[in-house]
Amino acid sequence: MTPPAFPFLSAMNRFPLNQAFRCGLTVLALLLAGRLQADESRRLFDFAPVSKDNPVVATIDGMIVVPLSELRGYRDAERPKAIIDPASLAQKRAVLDDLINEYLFVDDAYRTGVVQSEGFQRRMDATRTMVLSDFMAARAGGEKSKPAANAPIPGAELAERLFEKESIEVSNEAYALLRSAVRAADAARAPPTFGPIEESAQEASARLRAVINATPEAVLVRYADRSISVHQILVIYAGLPGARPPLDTPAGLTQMIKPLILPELMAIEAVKRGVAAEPEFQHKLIQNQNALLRFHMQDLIGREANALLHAPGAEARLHAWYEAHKTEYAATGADGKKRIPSYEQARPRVEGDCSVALRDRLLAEKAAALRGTHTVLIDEAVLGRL
Amino acid sequence: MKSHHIACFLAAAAFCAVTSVSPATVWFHNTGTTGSGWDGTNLDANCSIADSTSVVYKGTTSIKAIANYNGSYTGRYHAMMSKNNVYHLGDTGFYGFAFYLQSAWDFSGSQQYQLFQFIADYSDTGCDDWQPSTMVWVSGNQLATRRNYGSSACNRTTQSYTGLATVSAGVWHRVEIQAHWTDDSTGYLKLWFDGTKVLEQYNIATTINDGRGYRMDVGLYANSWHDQGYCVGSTNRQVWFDQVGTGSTFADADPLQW
Repeated sequence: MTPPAFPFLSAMNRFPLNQAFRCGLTVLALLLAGRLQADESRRLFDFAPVSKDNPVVATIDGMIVVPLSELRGYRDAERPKAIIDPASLAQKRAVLDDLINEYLFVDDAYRTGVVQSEGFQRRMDATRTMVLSDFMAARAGGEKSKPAANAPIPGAELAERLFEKESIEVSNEAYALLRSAVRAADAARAPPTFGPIEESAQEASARLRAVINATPEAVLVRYADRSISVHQILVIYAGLPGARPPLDTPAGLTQMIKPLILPELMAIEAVKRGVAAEPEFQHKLIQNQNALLRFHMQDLIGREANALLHAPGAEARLHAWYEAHKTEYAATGADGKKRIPSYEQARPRVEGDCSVALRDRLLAEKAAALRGTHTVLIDEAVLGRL
Repeated sequence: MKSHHIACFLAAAAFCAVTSVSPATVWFHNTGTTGSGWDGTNLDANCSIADSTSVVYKGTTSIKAIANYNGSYTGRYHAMMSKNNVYHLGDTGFYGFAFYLQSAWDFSGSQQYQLFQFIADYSDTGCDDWQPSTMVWVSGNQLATRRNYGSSACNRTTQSYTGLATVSAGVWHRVEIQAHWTDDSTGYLKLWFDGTKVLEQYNIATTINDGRGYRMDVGLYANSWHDQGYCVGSTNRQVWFDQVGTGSTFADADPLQW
């Protein structure tokens, strides 16, 4: 790598000293003006605020900052063996480059409106409830002294108390609809009786979906300010394997709805106790959101790679791959001589290796494309402290 | 074998006749439920494994595995779902799952909590019973895996790869493994954590020279509680699992992509 024109502040793309200097002044000015996004809303690994002891190591578009603690968090989480020589700035730079790529992927998800999409909002609502419930359970467990062996699951007692205390209303009309639909679903699930016909899982699933679609939607259960619909229960019921709760009895219905209600009640209790306002919870929520956005982008690229892998002509391309890499599949025989396996022999490995390489290539291309449209500034003096 | 490149996909034309197309093969997909597709349950006392609707990565359910330490109990602590014959000697495959450690997961100490293992019954050999092959575990906050290889179950070596990644509690993680299962030097073992490759070992033996099928277990196995006879830190451990997949390509096993 060419030494940076400006030793303490280098951009991803080389540019003249005066430009680097101007960028440095800009960052400084933005920091002073408080316009840099120095909060923790884009963090993936560590939520320590920027400070004198936790300086900024990189800035993206003059808006998103990556402090040293975040880089350390990333290194420890996913690249613990990447820096072999602690004095090597190039090795540290490679780790930082990978982290910046992850930031750019997440930023792209924000910019393209993933967060606002209905599916993602639903997922984050569920995640919020899940994390609140989990925090509440942990707090409930921590309210006691050190847990003894055979102690009940942390939070279980509190959850039971909340459930007992809660006013839960079940609509008789909706319950009648549910019972009728459950009978139909059970009948639809039963295997065909007309001979040795093996039905596919898709066919059975389609029959269950038809039952659900034919059932009028209605609110079945109301509690707190929440509700559970007939369809919600039916979808879960249809997916349950083996012995399913007998929904035609109140006990069976309770068995079915209780696991749905308990986390919500725990989450409500957590909000009441102020957990939702605590920085620890808010950081965990941000971490979950950004991790899911990161996964979302990986998913998009992975699907693209998979589509390419299976595009017409796949077998020919796999064969071409094999021809280009077949020496790498050579194995030493009993006579000590190296032999290259035939395509047919190596094909499973070829297919697997191609799928990985294709994904890697598309990830790298996407990262390169994003890098080309964003300005990234790096403080190499801070990077050296990694 | 060194790292591969994808130049072949840039090639404009294929140079060999296409006689058939063999699409990627999904061997097993489980969307986070205990009852669908598994061959059995590996469940010990003081443990439980069941469907959960409260912590879900995708869909409507996940698999919740719980282990509770009991000082007067001397048995093992498995809470795992099992799928038979997931790999044999000579196979190549991908294996993946998503997991979530309870937010209060206690990372103190270095006891091991297995999340995934391949295992085969070697009772007939006279030198072992159920012998695990590759496993994935958390020790402290570190992710680790291993290979178990040798000329036979009675003459084997294990090598652990520790400190692969740092695991956070209260957030979903993904693990994908790619392995070529051989007892000679042509095998390989790779592991991705949250989409990042954290292990890549080529030219290694990865399993025992034996053709029997290996079972895949996914769930929680607090092996140190039995092996060491005590528990460090929290006596209650909860892990959720979702999107367990195996197949012939990365996408088949990646919890994101199906």
